[in-house]
Amino acid sequence: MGVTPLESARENLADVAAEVACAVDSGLLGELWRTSETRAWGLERSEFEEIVCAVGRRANFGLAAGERAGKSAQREFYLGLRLDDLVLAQSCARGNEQAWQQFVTAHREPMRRAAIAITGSASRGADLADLLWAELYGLNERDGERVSPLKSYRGRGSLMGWLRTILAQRHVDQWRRTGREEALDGMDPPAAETDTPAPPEDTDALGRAVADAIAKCAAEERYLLASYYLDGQTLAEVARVLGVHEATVSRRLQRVVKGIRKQVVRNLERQGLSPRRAREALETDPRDLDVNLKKLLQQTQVESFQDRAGG
Amino acid sequence: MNQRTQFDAHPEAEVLNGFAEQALGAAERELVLGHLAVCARCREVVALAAEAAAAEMPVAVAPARKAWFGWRMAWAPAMALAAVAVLAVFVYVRHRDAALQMAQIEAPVKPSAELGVPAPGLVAVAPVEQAQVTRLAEVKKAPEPVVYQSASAGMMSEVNSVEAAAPPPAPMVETADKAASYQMAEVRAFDQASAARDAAQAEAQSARATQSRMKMAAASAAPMEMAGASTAPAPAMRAMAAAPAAVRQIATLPSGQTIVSSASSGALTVAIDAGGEVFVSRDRGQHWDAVKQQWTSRAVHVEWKAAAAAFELANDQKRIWASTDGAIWTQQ
Repeated sequence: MGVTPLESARENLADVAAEVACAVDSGLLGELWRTSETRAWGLERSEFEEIVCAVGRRANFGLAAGERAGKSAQREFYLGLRLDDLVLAQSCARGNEQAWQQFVTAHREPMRRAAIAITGSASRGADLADLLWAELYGLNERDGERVSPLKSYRGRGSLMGWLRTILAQRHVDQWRRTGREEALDGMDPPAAETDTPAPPEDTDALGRAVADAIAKCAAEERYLLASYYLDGQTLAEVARVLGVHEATVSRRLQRVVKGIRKQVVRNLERQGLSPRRAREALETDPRDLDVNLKKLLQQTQVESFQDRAGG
Repeated sequence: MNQRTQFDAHPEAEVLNGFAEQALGAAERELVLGHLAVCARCREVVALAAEAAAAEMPVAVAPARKAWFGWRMAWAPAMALAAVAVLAVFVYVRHRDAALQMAQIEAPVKPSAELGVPAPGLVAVAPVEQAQVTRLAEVKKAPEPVVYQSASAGMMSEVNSVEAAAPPPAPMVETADKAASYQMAEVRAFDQASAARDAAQAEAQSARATQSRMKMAAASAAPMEMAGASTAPAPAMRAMAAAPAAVRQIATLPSGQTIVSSASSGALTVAIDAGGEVFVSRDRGQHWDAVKQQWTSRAVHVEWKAAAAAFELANDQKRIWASTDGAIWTQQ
């Protein structure tokens, strides 16, 4: 009623723009719908496609920002999604009671157990899980509409894993807020000063050499160093996160440390130290490397993740 | 533009979970790793979530070394058993032929000396038959976890390892039910033959004095042995070969290729197609999800290891990866 040709044309253009931006192969969309249709919790096909397109678009089909996803990349991305979980979560977020019942049946107990495991306390775990349940149901409202965090689940990894991660985030953020007011036992002490400092010129050279060596490490290597040396995680804990065996983590750590040592010696030589003096700079007080490593890895990241992800 | 909260600087729960569950592409994974390297908060989140996941499935990662050890060490007794089985079958067949010839030609003259002293092979046959009975009894008691195998792989496992033997997937594949019944028939026939042979040997020992009784025993034992040995194995072998074909028919993979190896536990099924791609189904093979490659080279074999409560996947270089959910694989 009362739609001007200009408005109509704008709407059409918006539709076309959305389609171009999404540009998901229609055959693939149909295939995905067929696999999810029977468990779509009343979602219409158009709603399903809208959700799926939004998920793909937001993640740029798992590719780096700016890369264009071809059919095969799109297919690989969508086949890696947990479509069942995605449809269930989105249906819950849209207020489907049947979907919600299914969600409660499948996840309430595991979520409580996860919260207890994360907090290490039955009472605090139960509180944490209950608080999240209330939010998930959508007790918070925005512009008169229920808002559920489930809407932000996009099927990358399991729904239960996503819930665990949210519980862990809430716990860590809560702990970090209250931790400042508590005892300092759990806080990372500042790096200790060395007892027998090396000659100042060598220490400076060593500092620069270590900083350069660490800067050359790959992201995974820096993650290994930070988790193991800075956070004090065990090999098994690091392995669990990376999905590899702890022996693999051990080997990689050894390789990284060895590589850094070699690079440091090389850097020292480049700065004019003789090979012998360069080796001595490390051997005189090997804790220098550790200390500097901590300082380097403790540097705060200024750039946000979203900025780098291009999201 | 957008108002930033203090947590905008961190990856979302979705991305961190995708990272922990190996569900991200290489570019995204690298980005998350770069963030984790400098963000103690997110490292802690990921570690806590992983710990909670491990607590939910206590056998998921902790006993990985044991599983690896078990896998390697399982070959020694399996090979020994296989050697005994092959030797026993060989000696059994030779002895059966000899007994038949004796029953037909020489039974009236001198059967007592031959049957009175059991051939060495017969001693070994009994435990093998016992093992088959035990294995099938286990299948009846506990139908899950079920392991599907291709025709060749399944039969090799049958010979090589009792542990790796493929119990028929009773609720899913009708042909496999037939395989089970054929196998039971095979065991019954073996039992009959074995009982008859044992009876004949006992008779022979006690009736050295009475030549006429021994003639009757030899005459009755030989035809029963023939019936057991010649008729039962044939349909059993056919059914064993047919079972994977039935699985292939029912479980159509998204790739459209045939299944070369698959294993199940409960509703969870992992399958490898002819192209080496791995798929996982959480609803007994009705729907399949492709599993992102987390192993080197080409996946060729998968099986369910009840002891480790995990699937084990082998590539063509005989390296092993383990998974509890079929989606996340850890090298062993």
